[in-house]
Amino acid sequence: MDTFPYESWEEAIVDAVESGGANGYFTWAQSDMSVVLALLGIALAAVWMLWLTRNETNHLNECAGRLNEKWGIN
Amino acid sequence: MLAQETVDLTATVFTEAYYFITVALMWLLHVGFMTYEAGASRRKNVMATAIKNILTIAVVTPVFYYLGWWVYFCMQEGLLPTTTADGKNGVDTAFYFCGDGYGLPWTGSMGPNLGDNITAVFWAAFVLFSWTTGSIMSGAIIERVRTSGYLWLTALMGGIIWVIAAAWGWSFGGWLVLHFGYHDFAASGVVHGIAGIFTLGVLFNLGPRIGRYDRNGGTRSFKPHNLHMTLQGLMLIFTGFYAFYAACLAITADAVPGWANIYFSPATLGAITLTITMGFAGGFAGGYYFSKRDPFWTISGGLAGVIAVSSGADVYSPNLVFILAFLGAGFAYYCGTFLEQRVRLDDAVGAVAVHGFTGFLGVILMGIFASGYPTGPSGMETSLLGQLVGVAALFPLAFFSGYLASWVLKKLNMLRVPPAVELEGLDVAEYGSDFFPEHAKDREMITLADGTDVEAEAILREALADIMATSSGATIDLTKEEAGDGHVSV
Repeated sequence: MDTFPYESWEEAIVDAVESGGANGYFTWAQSDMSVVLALLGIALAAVWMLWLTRNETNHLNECAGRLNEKWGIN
Repeated sequence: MLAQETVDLTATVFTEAYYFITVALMWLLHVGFMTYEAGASRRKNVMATAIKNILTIAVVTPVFYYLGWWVYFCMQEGLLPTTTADGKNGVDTAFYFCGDGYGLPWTGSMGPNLGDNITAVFWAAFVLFSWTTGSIMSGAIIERVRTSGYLWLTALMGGIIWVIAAAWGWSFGGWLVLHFGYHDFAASGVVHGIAGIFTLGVLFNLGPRIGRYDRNGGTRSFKPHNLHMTLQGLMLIFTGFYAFYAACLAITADAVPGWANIYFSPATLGAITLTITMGFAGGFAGGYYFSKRDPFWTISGGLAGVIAVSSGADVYSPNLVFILAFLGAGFAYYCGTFLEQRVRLDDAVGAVAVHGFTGFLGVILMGIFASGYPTGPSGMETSLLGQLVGVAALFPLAFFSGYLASWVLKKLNMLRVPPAVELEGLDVAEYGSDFFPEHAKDREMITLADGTDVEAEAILREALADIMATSSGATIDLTKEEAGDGHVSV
């Protein structure tokens, strides 16, 4: 996966330094792949939240099943 | 004499380092919130409480990175995103980048960029504010909320809702700022007010902890497992507050005195240092006085005092601050007591009163004591009416978003843990362990409405029976006795 929008790192660094930083220097920004990476990150965050929710729900239901008797819940 | 290039470079690097240091110090807010809430929890809920605070960072950060930062820049005119790069609200300025996709996660400002020293550290300061809104809610709902339920709510508030409020009233081009002169320097309204009132909406759906109120309407109190830890947590929060205040300033090399507030009006670091310090002093004194020596409200009074003066922290005289903070602490105390005893709102840390209502009080105080101050690029004078318009816009934004989101979670049975889990304790249920294995487990105690301390189990069983009687289906056997050491392996 190429997340680097320049031909070479050396070229990018020279470009940035000679322009006094005005041209910037970033490894993925404004390339198509940066959009893909962002969408993958959003998907990861969403899936993780769904997993956490499902995992906790299952665990709490299981625990409640065991604890209901102790607390007299029929 | 230094070359101009050297001066400019020094200023740029200093600005970057300044925000970085505020970010690092603002972590203390979250160390403090975690310590405070864990100390305020009963022994059986300590780890679940702490983990909730830590996962706040895991959830709010990506939401703010992927969406929140863009919301801040692109929703300053209202709920619909702005799509043009200039001319927002009639003010043409280079600070509006929305039309270029500024703030979106794939743009050049959101990563390694030698041409932009500021955006990344400024973003980080904002994400720390985002965590803070989540942590404000976190403490109020401890000991019965599901971790996942809390995280969905904090993602919404910390990643989006407070950001909309900031876009409207805590930005250079927000409609509240440009058209009404809304002035909220250190976020009395957009951070504290929003988080506290969002929490109010959540608490109505979440309900009190089992056993918190008796059948006669009296209020029982649970025993925090470590009060020293709670007080230490608050002191850490206060330390982080200085960084929070400092991060509310911008550095402007081309203007006198070199600092500006978020509306780019002149300010000084010294002024806000005086305000926060005198605010804490007045708040502690007021909390101690109005609560008649109550330790919780004495130290919470310090927080309330500072929040009451935060909107005008850049312009208030320290003499005024001391008085307003003293009275603000009293307001928070009476407000919190009313909510707890009359409304029967089980806010475990007083967040709704201290942050929510006192935050919006701070917004109104700015309109009373500093009206006429020209705020924002339009130079609109701050006024009581303008501040009230701000409250009228932000209060419902916070309350209804909190209420509706928690209502949906409640309907999906994703908001609250099962009753048996709540009574047994979240640590054993969620994490399978008592987190103080080296200490013998004492019987849980509870303080009745008349101040008497009694063993909690019978009270909790009775309260559970009342809940079951009013809910669907399930029944409770009050004759069931606890066996062994009171521990059930799960």
